[in-house]
Amino acid sequence: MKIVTGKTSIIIGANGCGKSTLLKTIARVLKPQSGCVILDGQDIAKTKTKQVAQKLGLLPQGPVTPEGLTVKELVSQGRYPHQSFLRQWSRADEEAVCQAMQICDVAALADALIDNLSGGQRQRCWIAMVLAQQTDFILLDEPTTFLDLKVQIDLMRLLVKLVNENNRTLVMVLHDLNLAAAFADRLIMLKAGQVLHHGPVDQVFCAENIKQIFDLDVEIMLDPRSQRPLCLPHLHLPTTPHFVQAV
Amino acid sequence: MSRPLNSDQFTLQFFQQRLALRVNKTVIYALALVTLLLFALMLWSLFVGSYQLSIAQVIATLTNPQPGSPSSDVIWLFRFPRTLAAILVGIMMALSGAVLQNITRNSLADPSLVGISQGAALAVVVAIIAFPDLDKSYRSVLAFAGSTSVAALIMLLSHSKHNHKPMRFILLGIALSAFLSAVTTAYLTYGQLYQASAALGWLAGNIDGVNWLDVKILCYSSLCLLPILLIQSRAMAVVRLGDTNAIALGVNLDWMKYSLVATSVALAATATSVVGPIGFIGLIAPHAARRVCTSGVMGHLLLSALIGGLLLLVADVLGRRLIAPSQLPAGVLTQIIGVPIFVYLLLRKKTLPSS
Repeated sequence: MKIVTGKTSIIIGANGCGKSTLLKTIARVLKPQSGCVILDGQDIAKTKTKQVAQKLGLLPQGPVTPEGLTVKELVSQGRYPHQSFLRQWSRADEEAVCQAMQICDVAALADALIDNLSGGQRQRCWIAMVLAQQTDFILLDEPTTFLDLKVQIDLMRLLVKLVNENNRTLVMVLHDLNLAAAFADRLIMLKAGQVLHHGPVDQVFCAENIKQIFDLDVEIMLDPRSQRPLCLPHLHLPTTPHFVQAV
Repeated sequence: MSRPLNSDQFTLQFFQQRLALRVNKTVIYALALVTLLLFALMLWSLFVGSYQLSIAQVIATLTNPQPGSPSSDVIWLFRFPRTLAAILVGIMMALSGAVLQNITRNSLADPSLVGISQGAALAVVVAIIAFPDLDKSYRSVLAFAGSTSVAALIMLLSHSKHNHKPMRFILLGIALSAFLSAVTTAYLTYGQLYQASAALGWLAGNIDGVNWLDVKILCYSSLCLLPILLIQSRAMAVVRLGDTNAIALGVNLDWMKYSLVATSVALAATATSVVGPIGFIGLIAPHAARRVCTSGVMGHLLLSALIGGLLLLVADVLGRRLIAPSQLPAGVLTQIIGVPIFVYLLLRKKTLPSS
């Protein structure tokens, strides 16, 4: 499998099919049982972990913030791979942190305690932390979980904008198929630990593939506004006449 | 060159940013304050005791020691090493606790709770009762061996191949420490009365009777171990965000955890081997320091260390004064003072997030 650079790839699949495992393996958090991850022509397991961290950032699922940390302090931790014992806080660090906070719209909260923020704000802070790492590859594990629909959409737009404007490569795991189809350039479809389909959204997001991956009958439609594909599951419910009348 | 960053932080940059540090002002003030307090208390500690000395005599003896004179002997042979030992042991226990709390991400981790002190205790008690003729100087070696083997056992049992389980480390430690305490108590009842009372004196954590050699041991080992902690402190800050984040940010997690646990155990083991088990300093000092230094790790470590030194010195001085001319062991007093302080800190913490 190849991750296409400068694009947004979204990993989808049923619960427990290995989406997070795949993402963590790419990010060298887990060691592969067989095979290897190649980053810029080098085996990731044989590269110094700090060097990898300068190229590849990961936001795990549901990160826990330690007590008493401010937004800026959290975002500053993203600079770790660029610092050393003597060089703990350079001008480049300061700039990267401020820029990341601005992109994620948390600059106004810089001195606020993370404990006091809402789920959406908190998630934006974590994304700012990964952005401050200034890596070409950004891996995110379900960044939209537990967020309101509006916040989910805002967050996805922010991420896609980042890919387009700064030429970063995004790989993420998402649960919501429609959100994935709407924002991805490419989809990676997993079933039982195997990548079954991998390609541009319009080629792989079809009813047969979704039936194969999720064992779910769906109808694929086009969003009239964005022309992005949407899937509607077959509900197998008896039609209720009064509801039809109301519509 | 320095420039303001925000209200309570400033950066130092030298040599075209080859040396660039960020410093928290509040932490610097707190460090300065605790250092001053520590010096004041040191002087008081030299002044307090059954042999009456005036402050002027203490200062005269310090600036112009006259070996052989009673005041000089009292200060240079007894009170000075005792004062330094109290501070150093406090520093070491506090650092050990701070590091354990940091890497296990559990604020209950403390060398005296997870069996490290109990390992030392069992080794020494067995030696005192089974081999009464053994020279006292072997106690340090035995205590050290006891602590390190218990720590190794906990590490071995809590190690799992796929992920690090900090909670397992703590729970196994607590279980093992209860077991070791029970065995120690059983052994005490088995021994002769005079042996048992000698062992009990050591178990209470007594700084009385340390000599300059002990101070040297404490001093050199802290000087060797502290740099390891300071160099790793940036990585420790990242590990607070969780193991996955730490790996993603480029921390060599396995190496870091093992080296830090080893350092932490070495600190606690050395301190315990010299003065016996001292409880609660490793728990309270990092908690107290965390109230001032909410985020950074290096500042927190330094502050914890100084607060630990201060607390144990207070405990030792109070132990000398409270029921004079008898003395209370410092280890007993740290528990008596420590528990109320700990409860107070915990109760105050609840009100913090809303403020």
